Amino acid sequence: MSQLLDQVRALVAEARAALGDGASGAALDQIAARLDEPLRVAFAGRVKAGKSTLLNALVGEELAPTDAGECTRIVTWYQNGHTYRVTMRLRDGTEQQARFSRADGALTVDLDGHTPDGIDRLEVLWPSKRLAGVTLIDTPGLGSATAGASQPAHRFLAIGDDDAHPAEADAVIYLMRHLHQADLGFLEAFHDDALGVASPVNTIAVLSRADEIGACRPEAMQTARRIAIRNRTDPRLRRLCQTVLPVSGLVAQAAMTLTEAEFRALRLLSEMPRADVDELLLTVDRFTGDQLPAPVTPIEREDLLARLGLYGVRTSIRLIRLGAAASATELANQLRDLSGIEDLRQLLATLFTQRREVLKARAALAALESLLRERPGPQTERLSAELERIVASAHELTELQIVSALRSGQIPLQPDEYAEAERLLDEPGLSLAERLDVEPGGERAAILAAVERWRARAEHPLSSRPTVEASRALARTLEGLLVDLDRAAPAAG
Amino acid sequence: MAAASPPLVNRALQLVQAAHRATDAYDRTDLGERLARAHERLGRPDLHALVIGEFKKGKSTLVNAVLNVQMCPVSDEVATVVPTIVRHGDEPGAEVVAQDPPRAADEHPARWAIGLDEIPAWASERGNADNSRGIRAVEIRVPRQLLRSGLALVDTPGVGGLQSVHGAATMAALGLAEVVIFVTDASQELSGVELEVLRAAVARCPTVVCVLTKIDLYPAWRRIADLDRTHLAKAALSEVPLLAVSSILRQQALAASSKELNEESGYPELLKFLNESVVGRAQQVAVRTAVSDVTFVLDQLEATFTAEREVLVDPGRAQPVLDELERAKSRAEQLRARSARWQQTLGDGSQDLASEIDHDLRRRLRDVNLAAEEALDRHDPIDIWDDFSAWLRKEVASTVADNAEVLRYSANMLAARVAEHFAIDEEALIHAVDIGDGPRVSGDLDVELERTRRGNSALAAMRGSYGGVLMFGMMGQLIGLSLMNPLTAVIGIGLGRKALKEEKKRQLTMRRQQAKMAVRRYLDEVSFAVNKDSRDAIRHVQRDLRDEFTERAEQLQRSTREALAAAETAARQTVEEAGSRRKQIEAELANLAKVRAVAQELLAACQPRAAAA
Repeated sequence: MSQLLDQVRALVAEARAALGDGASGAALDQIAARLDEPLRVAFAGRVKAGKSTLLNALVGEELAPTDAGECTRIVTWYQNGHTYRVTMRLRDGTEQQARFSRADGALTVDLDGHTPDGIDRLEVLWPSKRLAGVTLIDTPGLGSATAGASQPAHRFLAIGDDDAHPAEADAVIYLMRHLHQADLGFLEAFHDDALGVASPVNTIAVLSRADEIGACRPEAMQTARRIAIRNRTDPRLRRLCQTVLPVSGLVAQAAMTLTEAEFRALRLLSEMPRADVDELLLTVDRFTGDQLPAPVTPIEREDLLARLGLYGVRTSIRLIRLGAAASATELANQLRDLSGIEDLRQLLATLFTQRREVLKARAALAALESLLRERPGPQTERLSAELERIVASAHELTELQIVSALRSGQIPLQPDEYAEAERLLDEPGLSLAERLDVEPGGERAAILAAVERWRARAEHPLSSRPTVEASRALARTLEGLLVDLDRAAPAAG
Repeated sequence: MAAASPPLVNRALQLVQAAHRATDAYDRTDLGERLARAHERLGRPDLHALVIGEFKKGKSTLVNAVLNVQMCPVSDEVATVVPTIVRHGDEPGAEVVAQDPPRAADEHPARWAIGLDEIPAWASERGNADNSRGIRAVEIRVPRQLLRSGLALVDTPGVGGLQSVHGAATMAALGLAEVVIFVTDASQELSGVELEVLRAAVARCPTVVCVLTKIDLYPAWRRIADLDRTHLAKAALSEVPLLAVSSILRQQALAASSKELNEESGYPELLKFLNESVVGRAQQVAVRTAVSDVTFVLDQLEATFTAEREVLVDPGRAQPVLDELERAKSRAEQLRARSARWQQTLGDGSQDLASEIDHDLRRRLRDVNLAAEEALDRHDPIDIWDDFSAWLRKEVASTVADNAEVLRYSANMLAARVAEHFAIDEEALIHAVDIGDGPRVSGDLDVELERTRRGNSALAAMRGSYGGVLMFGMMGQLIGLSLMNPLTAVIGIGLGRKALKEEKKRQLTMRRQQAKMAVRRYLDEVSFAVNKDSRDAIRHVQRDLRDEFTERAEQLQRSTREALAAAETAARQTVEEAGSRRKQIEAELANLAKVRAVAQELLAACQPRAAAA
């Protein structure tokens, strides 16, 4: 894999030497630097989809400010660092340190008189283990009622005619509350050409605020899971994202930061007679009001509700009453498992980390391509040719493209062939035997048989061109696996 | 509750009955029929309340909670896919309304009954995903006081973005509703798309209300409500009231018959709004219409008596009065004749309307076709076919919606023009029979009222031909590209490299031609279906207007004839006979005057509020 990264690095260096200093040089420096930075994952989605809440849940800290109303207006990067620092990058190209404070955990940044429109992005440097391998990017919601608030997100994800702006994210987590027509539209808009920003290989759709489905009843998360599974098979969504996961950002965030005091309050509530609790939990107004007797003050109850949401409170009380959560830690673990955050984290780890280098290379090549197109120079033609050669010869990139094409149904294959191809190329975290769908030990024979099969498919006179190309690529992937297997075999044996 | 007829309607009913007794006594069955119809119409206006909003906002739950039924399928997972109309019926029942009106008798029926337990299988994604069963609507009947007044609640599939097919169909249906209930929930403030839909609703529908649901789930719902009001004000929509409701509390309240819980749910306020602003206003129009009918009838009855009295009082004036009445009679005949001005306005107007609508549709579809061909020229049809057909469907849906809006507007204008011209013709008639302070044969047509009434009739006609709601998802599918296979390898092998290239080019050209033909055929289909619907609607309006005014002219004619006969009889009477007859007539006229006084009082009672509205 690193071979591809080295090639890209060399090409960028060559371009840097050829195009020299000035604006192009600075842009190339950025591209080069980016190759060695952590993977950039952007959170996108319609307004109030819960992007900031989910980001906080992943970091495990209440960093991004959240609110009932529209909140995030500026693109904000959260990066790992040695110190705490917030930098404002302004539209005019300059940058400025910003003062910040933490009120109730969330970060409040003093914009020093600048309007959100005048700020390109905020960069938050934050020492955190969870930010070590990945930079998280919060974006304003799409489809806002406040005109203008959504534009940064469009520009940022390279939507529209602003082609000059290269994609700044390596991968996208798209949040949606239900599969809405508009979500499909936005997801489609993220997709660009061959080297575009988002593609099914680096986009994960999240059914967010999953705890609110079905009036916050106890079975909300199970319902959400069923909906997600249904969405995964939706052909319109399949060609736009890797998979769909239900996650409750709010419950996850509360689970990560649950306090002893909160647990005590919840336990007191769970000790009330069943009918009284049900009455109290009927509506939020009842729960926070002082009309009904309760062992916990209204203010505490209001805080609980803000932290956990109605589903979180109802579920916590039920879990404590059932004896499934006897301590704050146990409750936090239960809530964390329910929230679906661990599934997302795992998927991120296997999927994006596994593909990290090829995604990085791909993003760098896309940026370089648009730069060369935009600022032609004497060496452009040679550099473009070299770029094209790398793209064509890098089997990893070919594989990614075939995954995209498979998912969008552009490659006519039989259903069993389709399943086989998908298992081989697009199932992160599988063992070799699982990828080949054989018992351990039978890998070698299975590979040899599969290579033959795909070669025959490629040479079959009735195969269409996309099928021929995909079949050839699959045969090559299998050959690579065989080489790896043979290399590993003596060591193992 | 709205359900009990308000005093105004009751008084109007009594008034109509009193007038009806008078027509019976004087043997004017023709006028009696008019009053019988007025009686029937009164208190049962045909009112459609369209419930719209983004999907999964709780629209079906709202309809169920308003009516205290469990009829509209509610689910956490699946959404409503076809409009569900809930109206009054003495027995609960449900029907499926077919997609197209059957063209031949042996084809599928226009609608058929289904069991109540089958409703989800037809109305929601479960069992009818993407409306694969291809129906137009599900109609449910339940015995409910609120609906007894003629109100029908229409639950719609959620708007998934303005450009979607459902979005366009909802836009079209907006113009056919008396009230739009826009549903949003407390999970977030109004979005840009939602505000756009609201703006369109206000532009097309006289009454719009925004309902904030799920306030039992979100602690910050009061803030969301404030934010929503701010958004409404900023979008110049501050006249749209925002009502916050909790369907869960409402269900609990109804189960426990708790008045307190019901108040807390916010639903009483919504019901009050529906009763006062929607049903109440419609009832006012109905009352004014009834009063207008009664006044017309009283005029006719009095005309006969006053002519007779005129002759009895002064037998010397018998001849001039008879001459006047003779002239009036012939004018009334003219009013009925085809050559009457209003008749011409109606005939020409209907024809113009039909061709205007046809032209409008053609123009719009031509634009769609041009855009489609452009897209096909730029790409290989195979590559873009799926996206292309989806795009085409959306374009066609919004085209048809716009066209229907033009039809509705123009039909209203035509109705108003015809009413105006009839009034002018009638005016001429009135002057013809003005004899001193003598008989007035006039209906005193209230043009403004007629405009409202006829507008409603155009509305009813369009609803009739569209089956209650505009074609949600009526648009058929584009024919697939089955003929447009990519170049097969078998052909490829037999051809040389250059020939292969040529062959590929030829095939692409052929695919484009086939695709364009498929588009044209599809647009023709749509054009045919829509044209038929709008022609039906126009015919309906035309017939309705012609019947109404012809009948009026006939009644005027009969009144003048009877006045003439009475005057002739009076002229032949002896002095004694004349004396007692005069007393009798005075008594009758006094009776009629009493009825008229009641009518005027009633009109005064509804006028100021009607003016305010």
